[in-house]
Amino acid sequence: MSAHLVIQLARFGDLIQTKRLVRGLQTDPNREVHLVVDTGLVQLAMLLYPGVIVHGLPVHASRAEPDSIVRACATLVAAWKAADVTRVYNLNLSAYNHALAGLFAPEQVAGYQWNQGQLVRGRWPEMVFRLSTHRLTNPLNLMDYWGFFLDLPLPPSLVNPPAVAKGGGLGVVLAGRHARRTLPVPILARIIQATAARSTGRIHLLGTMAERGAARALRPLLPAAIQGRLNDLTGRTDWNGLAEVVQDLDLLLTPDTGTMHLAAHLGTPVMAFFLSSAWAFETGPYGEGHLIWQSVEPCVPCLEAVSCSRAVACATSFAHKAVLVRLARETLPNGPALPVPLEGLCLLGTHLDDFGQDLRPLAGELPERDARLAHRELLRSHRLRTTPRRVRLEQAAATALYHETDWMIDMP
Amino acid sequence: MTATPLRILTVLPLYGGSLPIGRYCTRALRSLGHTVECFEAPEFHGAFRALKEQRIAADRMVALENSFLQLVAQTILAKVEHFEPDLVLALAQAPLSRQALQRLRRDKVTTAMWFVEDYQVFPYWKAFARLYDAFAVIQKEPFFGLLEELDQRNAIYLPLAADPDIHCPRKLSAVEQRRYGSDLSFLGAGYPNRLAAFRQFLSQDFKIWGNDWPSHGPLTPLLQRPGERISPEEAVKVFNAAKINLNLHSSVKAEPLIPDGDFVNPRTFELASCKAFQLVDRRGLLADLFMDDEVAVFEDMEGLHDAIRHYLAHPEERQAMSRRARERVLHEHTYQHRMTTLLTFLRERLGLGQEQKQIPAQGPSALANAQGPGDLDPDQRQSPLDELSPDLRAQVDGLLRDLNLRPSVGFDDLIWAIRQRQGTLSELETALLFLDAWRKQYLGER
Repeated sequence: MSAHLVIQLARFGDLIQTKRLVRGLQTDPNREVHLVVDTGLVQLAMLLYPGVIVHGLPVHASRAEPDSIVRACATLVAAWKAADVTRVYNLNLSAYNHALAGLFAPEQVAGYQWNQGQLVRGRWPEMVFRLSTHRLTNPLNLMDYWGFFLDLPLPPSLVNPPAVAKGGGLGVVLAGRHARRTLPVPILARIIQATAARSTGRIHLLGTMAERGAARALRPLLPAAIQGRLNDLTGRTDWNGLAEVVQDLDLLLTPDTGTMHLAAHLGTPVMAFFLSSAWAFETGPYGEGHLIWQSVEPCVPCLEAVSCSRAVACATSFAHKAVLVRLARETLPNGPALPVPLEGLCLLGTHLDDFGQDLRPLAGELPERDARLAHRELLRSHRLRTTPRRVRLEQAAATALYHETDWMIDMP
Repeated sequence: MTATPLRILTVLPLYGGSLPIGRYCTRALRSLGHTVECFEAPEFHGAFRALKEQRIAADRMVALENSFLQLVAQTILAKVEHFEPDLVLALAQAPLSRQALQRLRRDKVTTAMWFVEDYQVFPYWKAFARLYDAFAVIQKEPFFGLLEELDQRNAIYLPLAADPDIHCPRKLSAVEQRRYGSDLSFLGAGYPNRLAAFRQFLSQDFKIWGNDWPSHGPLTPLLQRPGERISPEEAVKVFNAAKINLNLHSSVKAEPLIPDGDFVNPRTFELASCKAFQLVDRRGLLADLFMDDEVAVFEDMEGLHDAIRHYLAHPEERQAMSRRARERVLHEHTYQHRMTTLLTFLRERLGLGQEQKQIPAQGPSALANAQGPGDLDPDQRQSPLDELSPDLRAQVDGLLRDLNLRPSVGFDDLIWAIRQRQGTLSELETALLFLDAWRKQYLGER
């Protein structure tokens, strides 16, 4: 039995996006899989990953005492030493991850390594780092990025079940962690109206205590018949409660959120709205049969840290007639053509192949399609160690992504 | 028979599996009579490693690594300027940057890469292959077709080989035989398929040598000096000491245990050259290189078990096969053969060395074989070696033999070879260098 440790110190959605890696590790019964997460996510991690030994660290606990932090960390490190960890998957670029990497020899660590105090990005993170400098052409879902920390990753089709409506009504996630990625309440109200006719069940409003105000603001903007179907669960669910609701939904309407990934994890259909800094190719819901409305305004995807000079104009496209008609009539990938052309938006369907997730446009036009395809083909043949299907197409991507250090230093 | 001696710069990688192959190529080219300068990239590797230990921002470190490799590439360019080679021969992972390769192309210096890697496992060729004038590979289709699509139209299949001066039969002392000997032996890295396959031989007298094997696991009792890299010299002892050398090609996947691959690894040739008996897995390109009565081939694990039982019981068959295998290597599979093939290809495809006149491959000197002064080109007429008195010329001929240079070698090539000597110079060598300096000053020669 060899102990493998996954260090995932990011947030809710990232924890679920680690599934291809964690489940991939679990395919070998001779591995004992350890996962360290923020203390607040321990319960969720145990829910998501039965059979995994979950550890908590106070990473996002701003009020923790130094003594408790040191004690928690020391206890954890002792547990890892006792477990005789042989392989580490250090997933995040952060000072925490860097510090924890120092416990292990660089050759033990996939991802971010400690080498005599120097932070070293492994070859794969380094390549993806180069890829992400031009996000529009990045075809790589985060689930696949982390999944490929394993040389033999879990087949994509085994990660999440295909999306199937469950009969439990609609779910609506009111906000994401990033305010700019969240649809304004009036626009969300119009989207709910357009979609409500597709289900006769209840409409569950989902979010934390912070979204209770949004839930209250939403109610009067909806017709009385829809108001009567509302079930405001904001701030009323723990991880188990949230999973139980999402598990049974017909459809989840959501911006780019952790709850969206939870739905994909459970095989619940997602209708996602990606705007501002959110880019569906990177963090879209993983699996077969989800739909994403992606803003394709010229400034998308932007940087969250930089203020928006256009008053988040990308949000307004989601209330266009073309979107609402489509939402009311058809949410399936093979629906009829849109009566009105889309402006500033593209509707994407999620698909899987032997490499991982791919998004196919169902309506609207995606920018940089050829360059993104070239990158994907290159990554596919690179990681699957297979003969290129379209080597000419890959060449330009190879020139950008392969550096001298790869050609001269990488060990096959 | 004529040959054209060339000036060749071989560029070794900083480290890795192609490094010894680069050294074998350098030796082979020298023994073929070419003037060879070798860029010793491994001497830079320590400094490169040090960059990874500086405790600086990761982005800064990546930039420094790139800058460092550019500096190494610039050093190679400076060497090219000084040495003026006809050919720059790079081994896989040689530190020639894209910028440097473009510069060499502009300067019309012929470049060739011997890519001794699996194109599926090591995919970076897509960004570099077209920058070389020629690309030698150890696989055939579909790799040839892919290279052609990327505008690399001078690809040549060049399988690996052995250096029979190094990979040779050795008599081992009783102590060495005890240390290195066993019924079964494997030398190589611990790839997943080997890890899984070798578990089936735990009860045998089996020794495993090489690096990248897990320190804890079922194979641990079999590991010899775990984690250590075995030098080529010591590898020869391991090969010679074993009754059966297992030669299972590597795979990054644990299944199937016997990979369905095409190229033949260097160990196959080295074992054969050592007259060491081997059991090798069937490869797509093996039949072109060895007959089944030269190396014993297995196709599956059951066949491997059967073969081990059979050949342990029949030492005379092992000896006969390994003798035939060595003969095959000596006839067809040495690095001299490979370098001859490569240079012939480069001459035919790229006109390599055509600017030089053909000179006799054998004989005391170019002058002695010439029909008259009119037959010689100006360079040869002006060679100061031909103007030496007989006693000095005899001394020079002795030096040429000592340096493993042909008698017809050019003066500049002789000077280059003298500069490469280690330790203090002899009187004659000093005098020849002095002559070279004088010629540069007063005759304006390079």
